[in-house]
Amino acid sequence: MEEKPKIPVDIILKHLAEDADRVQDRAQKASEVLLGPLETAIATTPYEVIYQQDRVKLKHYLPMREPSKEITTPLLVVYALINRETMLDLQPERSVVKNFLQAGIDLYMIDWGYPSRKDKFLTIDDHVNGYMDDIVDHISHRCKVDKVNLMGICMGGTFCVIYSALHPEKVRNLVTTVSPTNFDTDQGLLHIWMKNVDVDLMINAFGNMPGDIMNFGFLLLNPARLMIDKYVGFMENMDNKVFVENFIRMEKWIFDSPDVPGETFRQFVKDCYQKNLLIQSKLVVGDKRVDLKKITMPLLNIYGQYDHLVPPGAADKLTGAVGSTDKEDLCLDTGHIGIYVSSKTQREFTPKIVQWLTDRDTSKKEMKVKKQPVPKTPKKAAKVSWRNRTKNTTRSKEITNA
Amino acid sequence: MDEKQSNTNASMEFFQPLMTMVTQFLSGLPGMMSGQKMSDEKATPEGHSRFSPEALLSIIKTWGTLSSAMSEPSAASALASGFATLPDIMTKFFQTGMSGFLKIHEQTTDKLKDLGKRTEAYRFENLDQDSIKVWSDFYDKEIRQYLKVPQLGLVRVYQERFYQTIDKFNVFSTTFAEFMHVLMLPMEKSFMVLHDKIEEQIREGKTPEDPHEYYRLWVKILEGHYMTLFKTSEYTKTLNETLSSYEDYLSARNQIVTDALQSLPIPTNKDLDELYDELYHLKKRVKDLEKVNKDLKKSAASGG
Repeated sequence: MEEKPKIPVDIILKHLAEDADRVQDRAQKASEVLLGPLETAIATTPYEVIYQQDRVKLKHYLPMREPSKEITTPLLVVYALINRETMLDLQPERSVVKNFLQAGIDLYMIDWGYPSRKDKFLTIDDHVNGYMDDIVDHISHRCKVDKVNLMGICMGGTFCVIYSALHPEKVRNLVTTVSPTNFDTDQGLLHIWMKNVDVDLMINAFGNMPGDIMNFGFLLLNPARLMIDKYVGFMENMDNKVFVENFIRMEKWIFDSPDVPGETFRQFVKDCYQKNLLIQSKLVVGDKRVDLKKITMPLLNIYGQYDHLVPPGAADKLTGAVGSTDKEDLCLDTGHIGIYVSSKTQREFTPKIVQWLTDRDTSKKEMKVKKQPVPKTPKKAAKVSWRNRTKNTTRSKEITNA
Repeated sequence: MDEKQSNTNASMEFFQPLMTMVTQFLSGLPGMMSGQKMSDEKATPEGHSRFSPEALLSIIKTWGTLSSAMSEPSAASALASGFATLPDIMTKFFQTGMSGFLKIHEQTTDKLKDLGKRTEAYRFENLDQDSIKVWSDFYDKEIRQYLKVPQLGLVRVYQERFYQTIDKFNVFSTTFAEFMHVLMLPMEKSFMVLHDKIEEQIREGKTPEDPHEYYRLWVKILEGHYMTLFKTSEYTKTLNETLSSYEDYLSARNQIVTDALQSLPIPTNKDLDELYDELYHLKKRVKDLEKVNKDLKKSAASGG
């Protein structure tokens, strides 16, 4: 009886021969795809710039349907200073922006622009108490409201937390997504590396923190996947026009990295990554201490289970530190970027936020309250302080009068 | 000893007539120069010459005296023995360079001996960076000191900054090479682990038929190695050293660029930074004043 070979060389060679044919065919088609017209534009949802201060612009997205009667409070989205807000509108069928507009939300977004050498002296205080506060005032004045809904992304979420603690009277609801607030964790490499960085030397040498250097650092977080496997994947699919278009859109976004103003970066690294002051309510911005207990508005805190930049340990302490009684953690089964662009999370991320905001829209509640007789003694607010760190948490609807 | 003596005698035989000839030439020069002076005065009606003839004559006379002194048998003998030590100086000079080279060569040979040895998977303690360390030590001991020699004179500050930039660049190049070496280690180790895994699969008769499986396995191993490496304190230290040396180099380079730009009619980064700083603070003040003004107007309107 013939013994089976330990290495099926014949089958491997057969596969390789088939592969060679496929590669030839793929190369042929790939050249047609790459040389033909490609739709790779990002951030195509129409908007108008309604306010500008220095390099910072405020985008107002044009409504796609009649305004929601459920959510009348405008939503301001604050992106990080690292990379660009275009990620929320990367491709038409995977656009957080579009999903919000389709839900009838009045949507505003800060475009931080490209800081130049002139901006190197700008601090966190200038961004939060300067630009952000002026923008919130502008929206409030324009929409004739006294408060806005605030949603922050990554470092933008950290800014939103600071802002909400310093200006609670201007924020109706706060949504933080993949936002680092606890920096004393060894879960993420960034947190380990940042602890020993000589940020003074860095900023004195560079002025602003160069986006390209930061990008190189992000690539180094997982070189096997981000510098090798990703491009192998591209080679294997480059005959697929839709794949190529989406891949290039992502490449455009990833490597579109503005520099971060030097003083802001210095303070962020020193006070947050190295001293972890924010979560302890010891951070001082401008001349004011950021007391997280002053965050009393409803808070929805979303983060990714597999986020390598802002790991769960960096995000899930916030709800325990704020003064709100209506607060919720939602951990999604995805990574830092996947939370906004993966088709799977697209189905739960935006709908969850829309529903959460709908449940808390004050004007709707006020209408309901008006219909009800006013009780003689005020009813105690239901205490809804809980945290659920399990995957895909869904919140029960029993909360009222929060 | 005899050989050295005969060398000295041979040098003297060559050297003495030469020095006599130089002395005769130099002693004749003043006469030639006074003739030259006459013609120069005729050529320039103002009577100005580019060189002071007196000064020139004095230099030539000094050289004449010196060369006549040197043509004395005793001085010539001393000079000749000085020439005789030249090979020694040259040998010492080359020895320094060669010892560094040999050290590197020795380390490389040692490394070649280790080629057959196995590297341990997923372990990055005591990273082997000997070859880079040898260069770094050699640079520190043999070269760096020359770049740190105190500079003298009017342009000493600029010269010092220039040498400092070269030094910083060299340090950065070394730390960067070290960093790249560390970054490449997981590659090396992952191939070894892949080899082991395939051997294991062969033993168990579980070799994948799909060639892509091998790639997927390798990427997984590589990712694991990188994750292990990145968490080590050695990696963090190397990364920080590389960053710091790059930043040091950039600062030094920017300084010499600023020095160079200062002589041109354009603003330097330093000038602009000062301006931006001033602008930043002025804008803040204007904003604060606007706020105060707004509040005052509000309270005035409300009658307060």
